[in-house]
Amino acid sequence: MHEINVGADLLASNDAAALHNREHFVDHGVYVLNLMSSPGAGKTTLLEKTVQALRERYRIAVIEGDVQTSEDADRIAKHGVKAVQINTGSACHLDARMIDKNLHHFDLDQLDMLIIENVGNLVCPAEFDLGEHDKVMVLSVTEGHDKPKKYPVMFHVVRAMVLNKIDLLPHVDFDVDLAIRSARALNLDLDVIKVSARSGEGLEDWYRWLEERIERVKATATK
Amino acid sequence: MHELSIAVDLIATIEDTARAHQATGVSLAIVEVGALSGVVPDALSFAFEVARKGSLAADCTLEIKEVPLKARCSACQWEGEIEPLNPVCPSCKELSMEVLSGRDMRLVSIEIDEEKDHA
Repeated sequence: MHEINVGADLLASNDAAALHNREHFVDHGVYVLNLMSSPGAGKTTLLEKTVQALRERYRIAVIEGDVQTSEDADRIAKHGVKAVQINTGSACHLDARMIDKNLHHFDLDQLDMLIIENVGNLVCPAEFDLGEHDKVMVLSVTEGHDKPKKYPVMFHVVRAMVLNKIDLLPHVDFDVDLAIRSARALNLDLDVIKVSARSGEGLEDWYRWLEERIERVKATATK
Repeated sequence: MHELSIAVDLIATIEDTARAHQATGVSLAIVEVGALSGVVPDALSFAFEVARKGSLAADCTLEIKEVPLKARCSACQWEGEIEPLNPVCPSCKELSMEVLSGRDMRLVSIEIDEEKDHA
């Protein structure tokens, strides 16, 4: 019997698949966003508004991750953009290989932005790099300002936090400053965008944030 | 429940390493799991029991070493271990901790069984 030092990163196989995806996205100049939240935070509503607002200027497609049903993909497809559903079965997150397997549905040369809506869950999706440019999470004010402390990994890995349902602030005990302070404690450079996907308040800020990133990626495409 | 897919990858890595050393079996695997890695040690142990069946690591014991979360305070430069659920600087009480380690999950080493040496 003898001991062998290995020193292998156990997430390496996903990371390798993510790197492969990222190379595709960067080459084709497609900005890819991995959108995450708990169930019911308003990801799909935010997506519907985003697609409506930006589809004239940009060619957009969506990948919808869900444990089952194609309801979300159907909601997005109604707005005239291509939406592909990935049902994960029992898995609580999307991984890079699932994305790779579904990329053949899209002509990346004909896209400016691909939005991947992850499975509703604040834990597992944060662990898996899909090859996206940015991870963004939606936190709704009805969920409570304690979420950053309870789900530190999610708040640590994202580039931006969209604080949704701010039209409901008068009705809930949600401390906006505390939520932002505890999120930034885990992530110093976190961008915070306050919106109500329902009333439309703040959405212009969100669109501007996206536009800046789409343009930056387009400008560096190699194909 | 992503511990199962991690356990499957873990078994594959163990088997690759074992084969590269002409092992006939693997008796022990040591992994490090960071406090902020999102991996639950108990769930990983359970998933490993399932994933190892029929593999070179079928009789392998999994030893999990938990790695604490270490961070640095950007306000006062304090460095040390903190609780994942309490990201406040123990020294100056500021909410400005920057994570240094404890996010990873690594296969550190394995112990393999070999054909008896020809003495």
